[in-house]
Amino acid sequence: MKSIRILFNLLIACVFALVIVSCDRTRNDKGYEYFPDMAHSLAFETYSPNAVFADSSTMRLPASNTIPREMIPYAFENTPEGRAKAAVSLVNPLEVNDENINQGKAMYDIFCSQCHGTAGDGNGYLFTSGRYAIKPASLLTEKMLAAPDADIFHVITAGYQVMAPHGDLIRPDDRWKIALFVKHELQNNPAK
Amino acid sequence: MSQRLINPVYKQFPVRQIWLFCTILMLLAPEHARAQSEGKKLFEKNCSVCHKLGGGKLVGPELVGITQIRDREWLVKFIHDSKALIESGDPLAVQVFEENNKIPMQAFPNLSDSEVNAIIDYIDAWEPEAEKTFTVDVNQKTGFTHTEILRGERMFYGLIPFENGGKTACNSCHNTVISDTLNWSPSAADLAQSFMDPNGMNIYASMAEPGSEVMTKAHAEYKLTEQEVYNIAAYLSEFGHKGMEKQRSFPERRILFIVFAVLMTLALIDLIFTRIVKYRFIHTGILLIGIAVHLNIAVVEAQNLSRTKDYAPDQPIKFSHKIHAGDNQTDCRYCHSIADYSKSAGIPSNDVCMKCHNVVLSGRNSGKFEINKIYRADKSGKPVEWIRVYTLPDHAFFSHSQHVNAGQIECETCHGPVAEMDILKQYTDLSMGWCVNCHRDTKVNFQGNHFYKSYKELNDMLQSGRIDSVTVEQVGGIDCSKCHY
Repeated sequence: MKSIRILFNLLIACVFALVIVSCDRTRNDKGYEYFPDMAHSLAFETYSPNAVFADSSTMRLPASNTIPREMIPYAFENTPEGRAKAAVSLVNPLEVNDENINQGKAMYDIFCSQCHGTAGDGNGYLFTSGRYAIKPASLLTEKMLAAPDADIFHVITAGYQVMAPHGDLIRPDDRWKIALFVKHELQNNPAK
Repeated sequence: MSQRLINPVYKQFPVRQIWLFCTILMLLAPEHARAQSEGKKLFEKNCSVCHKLGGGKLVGPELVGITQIRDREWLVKFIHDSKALIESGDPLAVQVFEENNKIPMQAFPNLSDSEVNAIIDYIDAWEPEAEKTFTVDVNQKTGFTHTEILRGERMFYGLIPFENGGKTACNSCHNTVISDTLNWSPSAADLAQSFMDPNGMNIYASMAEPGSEVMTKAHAEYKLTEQEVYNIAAYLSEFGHKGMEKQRSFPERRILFIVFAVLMTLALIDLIFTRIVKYRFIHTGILLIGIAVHLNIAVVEAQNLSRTKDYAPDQPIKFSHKIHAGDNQTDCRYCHSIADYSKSAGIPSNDVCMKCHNVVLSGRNSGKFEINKIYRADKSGKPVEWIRVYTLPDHAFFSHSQHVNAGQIECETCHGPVAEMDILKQYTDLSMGWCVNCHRDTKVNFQGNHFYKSYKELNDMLQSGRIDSVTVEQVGGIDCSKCHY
């Protein structure tokens, strides 16, 4: 009777050990497939390499001298003159309401706060932790307080000085929302 | 006669003074060099993004020869706080401000006077770097003889000691075998690839003068002669063709399978024919455990077919999510910005990397080696070939936008603690059971979303209080055609 109990314990130990033990794959090994007939796309996928084109990428730029539908090329350059021109010629198409401002805050937290800081004073984490050597601009200076929405929109879109253009990451509406948030929330509560 | 002429001359020489002079020189020289390197470091950290020595105007003006046209005291003041100087009406400061598109220079209150002076000293002493000459052909990348390659290999593995010291073998940092954890030092294959690339590194120059702080520290005791570097280059060219050794893991489960297969056979033979062991329960026990083990292995292996949980491949660049998303606190959606309105979460292009890495030129762990790969890709226009980790079969449809935007699912729910991963690992198995379970449990934001207004029956049930929430399943989330079409 005793031996059976030992045996039983042994059996449980073995099964337990097996559950813990992982399989014999290395981390670089994808393992085996089973009838992968419909698992791999025959058509090229967005990021798959493509033998048809010389640069081997499936994603293409628009043919030269054309623009995609609904895309409005940005007319202002990343220069002080371009910035001044944009500030007077562009108008924020969005209305000021809580929804837009809250969405602007969400976007600001993703794209801006790590440099310009959650308070907008230019003391973002990347700078204060010493990972980014250059002090980001404060959005609470007198110059920025006087700047219209379009000025902020322009700088996000085209960049300024060391700041890289972010027009490719943030959609135009979201850029306007960030501008709304900066103007109506950040700059109104500088103590926050 | 001639000896007599020479000797007095020697005696007249002020030997003692020469000694003194030499000692002072020796004491001074490293001090001078240290001040220089201090200034260089400070310059590279604080100034080099806007000022390029000898490269003309960048954002800020050219600085070579600045001490000849500007007063040092004024320079120190200007560097400390240019804005205050401009506002105080200093005519020179205002002139500089106007000349440079009215872009104010950042203030550096954190630099001490001696540090600013070290920077100015560095600028003062700066000279265009003379084209380094090497006795060997720097551009030779192939055509090494067999003996050269072998010699290089032995040096790389530490079997032939280097002439000027450096005890640890190259391969103890520059792996020749794939490791399970992230090794920040470039592997031998990485080095080989970078060496073979026509725009890649000049191994002679980087061995003579390490490019980054990390490398300077790691290579402090290595002063390789050119001949030694040549041999190692020969080995690297060979290694580039051969590639890394394939990673092997200890085949625990296979061994377990075989051991129990043998044990079970022996038990069966003994049970039926030889009958050496008297106690039957031993045979039965072995057979029972054996069957359990074999069944377990069969089931687990069958389940893992076509599934790649824990897959964590080496990427072409040692991009660490732990550094970027964890330590740097960058939001996932900064780089994967299209996740909330696209099917794919997006693989960031080189442009996205360059938004920060136009300023961040070297990493804390990897020095410049990995970041240089972005610059090379950026220059050549060749996309970096990242290796896909999460793959769904083509017959299942998945869209990030539905989950991230409408569903408001956090990235970590499916991708796990990415901010703690140096090497990105597949966290979930992406099996159909996993999808369906989540769709059964997850509640939909039913009343906050106008889209669900038309679901009359569910709305009625909610109103009458028969149900208090709606799951994804109830709005058709586990219909076949939802994902398979």
